[in-house]
Amino acid sequence: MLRAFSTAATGMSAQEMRVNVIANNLANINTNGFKRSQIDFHDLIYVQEKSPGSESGAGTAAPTGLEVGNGVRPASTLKVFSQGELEKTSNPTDLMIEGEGFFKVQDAIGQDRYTRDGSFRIDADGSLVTSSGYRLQPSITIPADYKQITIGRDGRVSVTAGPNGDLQVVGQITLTRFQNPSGLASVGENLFSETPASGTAMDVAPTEAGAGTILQGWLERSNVQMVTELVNLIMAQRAYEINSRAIKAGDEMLNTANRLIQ
Amino acid sequence: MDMIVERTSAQLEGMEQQFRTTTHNLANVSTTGYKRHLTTFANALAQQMGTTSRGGAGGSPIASTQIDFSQGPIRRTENPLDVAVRGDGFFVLDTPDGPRYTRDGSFRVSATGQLATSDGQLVAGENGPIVIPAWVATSQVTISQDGRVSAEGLPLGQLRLVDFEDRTALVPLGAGRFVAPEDVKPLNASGEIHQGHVEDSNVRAVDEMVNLVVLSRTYGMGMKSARMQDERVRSLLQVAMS
Repeated sequence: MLRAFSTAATGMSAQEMRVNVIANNLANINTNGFKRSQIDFHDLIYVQEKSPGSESGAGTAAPTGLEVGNGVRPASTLKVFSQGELEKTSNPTDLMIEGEGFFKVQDAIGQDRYTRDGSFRIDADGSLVTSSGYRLQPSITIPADYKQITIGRDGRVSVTAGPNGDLQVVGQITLTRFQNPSGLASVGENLFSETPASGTAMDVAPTEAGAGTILQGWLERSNVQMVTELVNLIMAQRAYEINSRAIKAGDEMLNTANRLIQ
Repeated sequence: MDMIVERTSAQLEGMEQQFRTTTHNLANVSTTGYKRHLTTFANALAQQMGTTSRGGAGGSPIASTQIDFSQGPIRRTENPLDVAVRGDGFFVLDTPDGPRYTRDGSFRVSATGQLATSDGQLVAGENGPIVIPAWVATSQVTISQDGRVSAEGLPLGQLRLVDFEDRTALVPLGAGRFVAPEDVKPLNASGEIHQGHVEDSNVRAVDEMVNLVVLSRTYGMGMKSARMQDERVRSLLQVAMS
């Protein structure tokens, strides 16, 4: 009986974890390039109190055994890399990837990080940087006297600059792909880092090998859908509740047993 | 007299067993591919006599667990590597300890490009593991209803789907996986595979809650009857001692 209490408790803590994941998704509903997470559960190992086929009497074998389950555990969280919603900003340095690639940026300590958030700015040196100031890799420098920036679907960056307004190509944006994007680690600030599970980063040109194309003047919003998350939240809440009811029912049963001895 | 006491206590024990199974089901109400467990009782005496008649006058109930392999609801996800089986069949995982069978088809690509579970166990294809080349984006992978995996028209393999004549022989290992005894051979399965979907747990919360209420009431009744027997023995003793 006491084991049943801890079984129900595993159910409650699993649902608690699910609520945490949903809350983080909802909190990031307006975060550019955010990818929602979903949590997967696994049932816990079983205790075999009687194995199937064991002898149950003179010459007969029980066709089924007695296996007692111990509840549930959160197995993994999966980041779903589906395309987020598009938003037109008309800002020439806002970029969106239509496809599976990532922008590569270098963080403060010089490590490569990957992001889907393409809201780039031009810093004091003329480089394209993220809103946290991390430089896009390979770095692209925009001349100080630029008039217009054009970024093609293939990632070619050209500007009109100089006294005559000549069109010149100043760089090429490359994208990075991973065999298993869901295996990337989130490091905050809309950035991901490579892990053994994600596979090694593959630098590819936009429009090639599923990397996707670049859209200028658009941003990718979060792929969190409010209705889905709220429905999940209700389901998690109800599941939490029924597990707590199981504990209550067990408590009542124990209480009856206690009253046996007067 | 002894027999009555023995029977009541066995019944109470059986109910505790049932309660544990119910809480386990409830804990797994949102576990992908989970199959509900049932506690069934057989009359020990009837079993000993090799009959299944319920007319046996005595004998304690013996509890055993069974798994209800009925179809769980199929839910749409956005992941192209999530697959659900509608109908009969289990996916096969090639683990270091031998084949494991599961209905949980929430698969991933491993770092080496193979189709695998979230903890890295390889998913078996008809001709070895299914490898997704590095140039293929997961959104380009298509899996047909008969389990053929392809990307941009290039065939990558075929998911292996098996079933068993006697599913009661399967032993649950947790994590939604089952192992089959050596003498039980897998057969080809007829289920349909649906890409971008997963099969939810087949636990129905309402049924389990009803179970809980019934259990808690009958448990109370069982306890009451145990107490009455105790009183009877006590009064008998009083008569005998006086």
